[in-house]
Amino acid sequence: MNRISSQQKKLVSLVLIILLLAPIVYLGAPGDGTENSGGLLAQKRSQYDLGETSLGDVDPTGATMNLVLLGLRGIASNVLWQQAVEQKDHKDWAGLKATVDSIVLLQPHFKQVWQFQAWNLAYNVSAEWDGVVDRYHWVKEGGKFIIKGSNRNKKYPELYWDSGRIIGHKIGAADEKKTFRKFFLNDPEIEGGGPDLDLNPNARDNFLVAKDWFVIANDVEAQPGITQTRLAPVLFRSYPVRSQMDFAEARQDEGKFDEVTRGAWDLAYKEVTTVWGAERFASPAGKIVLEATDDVLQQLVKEDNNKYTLEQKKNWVERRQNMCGYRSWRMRCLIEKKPETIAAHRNLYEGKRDYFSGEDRSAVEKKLFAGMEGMEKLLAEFSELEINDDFREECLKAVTLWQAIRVDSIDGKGIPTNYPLKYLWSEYSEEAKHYSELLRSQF
Amino acid sequence: MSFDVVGFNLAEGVVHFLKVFGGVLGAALLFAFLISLLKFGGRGAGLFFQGIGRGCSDFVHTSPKRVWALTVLTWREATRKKALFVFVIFALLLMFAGWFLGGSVDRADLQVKNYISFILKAITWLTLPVILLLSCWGLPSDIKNRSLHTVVTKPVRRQEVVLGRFFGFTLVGTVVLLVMGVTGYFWIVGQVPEDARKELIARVPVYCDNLSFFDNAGNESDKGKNVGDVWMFRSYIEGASKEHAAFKYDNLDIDAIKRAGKLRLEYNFEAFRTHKGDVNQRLLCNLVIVNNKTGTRYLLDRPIQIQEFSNRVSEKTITLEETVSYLEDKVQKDGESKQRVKRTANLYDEILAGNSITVEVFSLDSGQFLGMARPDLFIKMPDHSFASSYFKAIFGVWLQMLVIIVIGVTASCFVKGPVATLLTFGIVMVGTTFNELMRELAAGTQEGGGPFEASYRMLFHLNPSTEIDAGPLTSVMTIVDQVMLVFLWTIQHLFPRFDFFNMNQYVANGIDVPWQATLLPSIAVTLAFVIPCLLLGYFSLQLREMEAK
Repeated sequence: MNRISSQQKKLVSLVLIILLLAPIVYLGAPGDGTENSGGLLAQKRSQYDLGETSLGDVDPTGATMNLVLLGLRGIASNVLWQQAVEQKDHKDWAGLKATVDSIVLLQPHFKQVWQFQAWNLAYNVSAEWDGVVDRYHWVKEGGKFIIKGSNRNKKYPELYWDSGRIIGHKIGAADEKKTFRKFFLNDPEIEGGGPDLDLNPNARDNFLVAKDWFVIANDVEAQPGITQTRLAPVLFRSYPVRSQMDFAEARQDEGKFDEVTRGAWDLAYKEVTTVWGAERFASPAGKIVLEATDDVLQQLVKEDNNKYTLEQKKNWVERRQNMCGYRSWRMRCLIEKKPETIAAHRNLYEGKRDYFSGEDRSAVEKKLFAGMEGMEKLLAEFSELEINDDFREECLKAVTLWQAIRVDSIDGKGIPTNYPLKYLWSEYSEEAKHYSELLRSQF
Repeated sequence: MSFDVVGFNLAEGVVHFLKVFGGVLGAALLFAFLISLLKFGGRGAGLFFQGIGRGCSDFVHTSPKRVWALTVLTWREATRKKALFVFVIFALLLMFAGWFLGGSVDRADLQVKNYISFILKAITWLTLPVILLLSCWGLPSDIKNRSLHTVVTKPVRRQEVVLGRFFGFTLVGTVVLLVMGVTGYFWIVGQVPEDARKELIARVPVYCDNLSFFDNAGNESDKGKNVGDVWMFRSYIEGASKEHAAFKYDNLDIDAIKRAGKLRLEYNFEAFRTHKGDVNQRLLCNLVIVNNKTGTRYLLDRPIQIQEFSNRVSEKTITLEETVSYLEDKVQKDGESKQRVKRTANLYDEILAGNSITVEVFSLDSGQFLGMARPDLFIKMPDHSFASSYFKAIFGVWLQMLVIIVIGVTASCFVKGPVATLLTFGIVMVGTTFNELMRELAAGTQEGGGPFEASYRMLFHLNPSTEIDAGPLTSVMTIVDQVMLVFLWTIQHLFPRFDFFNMNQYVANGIDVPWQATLLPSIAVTLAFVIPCLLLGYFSLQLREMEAK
């Protein structure tokens, strides 16, 4: 019945295959990453951000793993998670890192994997090690891990934020912050010195590098269709300027009272008032800004077509300011950028340092007194400073040392009836007593 | 090391084996005798002894030539079944392993562990399933295809069929393992970074015979302080106090130490800080070597720094040359105050005289704790090569494979392929995963009691630590559970202890695979399964109806 030969059948099949391939090639041709490139499917994928490349850098290894595992990715991930927990309990750190790397190959776009394991490495694993170089090594591992996660997931502002947190907070606020900050600029594991280029390619201060990450986090968060669930917006978007303040404060803690430090506070003030403070945040009373004058709020009322009253807006501004401590940060920057504040800090810092290193007591007394005078003036100008814990601690500790010098002096100077910061000393006598006892316990 | 290394007593093991083997064999013979009596009446006794006699005769007349012919046949069948395709998977793994492992940890010394573990695991998990399937499906498919008829119709004894299968599959497995092992070795050496190659060694440790902890009042205990760590492996001593740990070494091989020209101690203590302390300074500890014969104490003249979790051997080794400097407390003229003076002692004639020493460890930092377990301080004999340790671990995999083959082939002698596979897989799983649980259950140390008590607890929602009120029911439960536990005690011996075979940890940690603690028990376990399985396989095949598909 069938008159066509086997060879003819094969030819017909071949022609049919080619005919069917044509639309597949036309529709499914891969794009080159640019818009309107590739076949129809590639264009649509690009248009609706459906491709994996739209989420971030694609890791070919992870993609291969997922293909090889067929439908068993979930099971494999679970097994690996359990293994990671067990390895952490049994302190098999190299094994833990290898397992974590395998997990992210299977779940590259699962945000929590990156967040949880980066925290695990930078905070938990590093704390297990006794040597400070080893601890720093694991902080770096955590930092590199979260940066890798950010690159693979460019639409998660939280991952950029976490990168900033590990580099800023973990390196700059840990118990070992002095050493870690030095290592960030001059890594002991790098032959010939210098920073670890994966974390700090431009050899900058850790807080400034963290600030850059927070800025990127804010930029990503500002893109349409992207939200973050880490913090309230007023807090989340404060982190670049908070990092700027941390940078300035860290310099002061390290005894650097130069123009760079003053300039850092100055920049922080500008960023608080003109960047963070000028941002528009949503509230139940429509858009508001934190740096709110009546004129600005009036303008916002108009923009909202008088849907909300000025009073309503003011009310919500105050609530949001309270939420993020806006007025406090603003005042801090305003005070710290003053040259006389820098001078007062310097006097107190050097007085304290010289006191404990056994320098000439009269010179130390003078420095402390000058610092106390400077602080007294600031307190007179900004009475809110009184309720600032850090300010009080710095002042009361200085008064304690100054009093100790006076009491211990050979010529029996004693403590005069009036002296700078006397008000603070009397008003917060319990705290003052605590610092006096602390000083006595040192000797 | 994250586990204790406990020696194996061969004599005890053999006695234990004979007890279990003798008991099971006796029970099996008795059972067979009774069945034979029931089935054939008075004639049964004669048939029973005739069968035993025939079995003995068969074993005595085993022909190596025929066994070899069957071995070659098995090899050919296995290669025809594309068993060697496993090499392709192995090659693929090696080709792409660098993607997953390379740069996982920046510290080369830690990365070494990952490479070694990966290769040994890959070899284990690729060869064992293949061998399991081959050994379980060989005989059943021969029976099904009736190709076994061509064998059994020839003058071949049944045990020769079983032995031929054992050796044939062992040959296949050995070739696969050899190729993978050698390739894996060169892969590891090639992948490990240049600066970490020196960590590819096999240290030969001499662990202490006893570790004790002493509190501030001088009371001795086998455990120190618990700092709340989830992992209870290590016990802790407090710094700047009289608390200390004492590692006691008896019967030291002084000649071997003399030949090495020095005494090397390696430590691996863990630090636990209760306060920040000096973050730039590692915790410190003092070592005091006590000569157990003379009681003389030698405080080493400088404290050692804790190199926690480091895999760099050189950082954690204390070397004592022939002349050792130590510190001695000299009582002053006032008769009360003491002054530390530096002295020297001869390592062999004074410190190690009597072949027995105790090393006491004192933590020096106030408020900080040092954690240690028995394997954390050992005397290091001259190192062996990495290759020796690595191939011992491969030998461990080979032994494991052997056990699987004998169990698989034996199972396939009396059940069909799928059932034999499930049975062997089950035995392997229980032997690897639930062995410890079974031993704890059989020893009665498992919290929550035996099966009856556990069921009672489940029924009444009582957790394992809740006390059950004493009463008649408790007595009944205890008695029933005792009987069950005796049964369980016997049953647990039918599952091989696969934990002996796992030598990966030693190799990965740069420790030589110990003969007494690992190799010897592995060989013993293997032999302990080969003999009974051969007997069981022989009698099963004798009784099996070859016509059945």
